[in-house]
Amino acid sequence: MTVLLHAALILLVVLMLLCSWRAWRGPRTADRLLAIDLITTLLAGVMVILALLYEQGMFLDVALALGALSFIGTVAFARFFGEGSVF
Amino acid sequence: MDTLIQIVSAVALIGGLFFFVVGVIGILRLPDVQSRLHASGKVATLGFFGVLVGGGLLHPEFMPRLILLGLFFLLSAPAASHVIALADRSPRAEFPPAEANGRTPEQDAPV
Repeated sequence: MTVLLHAALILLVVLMLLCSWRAWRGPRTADRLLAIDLITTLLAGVMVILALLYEQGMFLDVALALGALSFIGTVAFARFFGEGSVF
Repeated sequence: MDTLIQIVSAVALIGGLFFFVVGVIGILRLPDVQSRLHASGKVATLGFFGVLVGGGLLHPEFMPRLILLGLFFLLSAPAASHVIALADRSPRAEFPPAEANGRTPEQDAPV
């Protein structure tokens, strides 16, 4: 099981690097925002797998806070570039 | 019984990782914003839920927080996709301008 969790961590980091290629390349702003949103989802997956690996529930709180912050950031930035202002 | 639970949770974890891989391949290969949004929705729901189910079977003491995480992502991921799709349809969305580095969006699109 430990081997599987370590392999999952390596796979998730590789997937985050691939996503950052899309965030760098674009071509539209929505593509970049979408790729960054996906990177934070993958990072929440990394946090869940770390919690399973070290048997520490604290990492799940980190994943929850990361999800909340990334959702607020995505909505704020999408409204900013779509409508010109956040509120 | 213990081995059975471990096998089932490993299957759920591997299923979640499979959908992570599928979603990222979709992000890289699909042609436009809407279809990429569809691919990223697979990651946020199916992939993440697979990992959560696997983790909950492996460590039952984490179950309440895993359910909370699942509910939160179930609510927030479609809302974020919806907001991104709405923002991309607005006329202000092409920023910086298309000819910023001498390439049009159509030249960049099929990558």
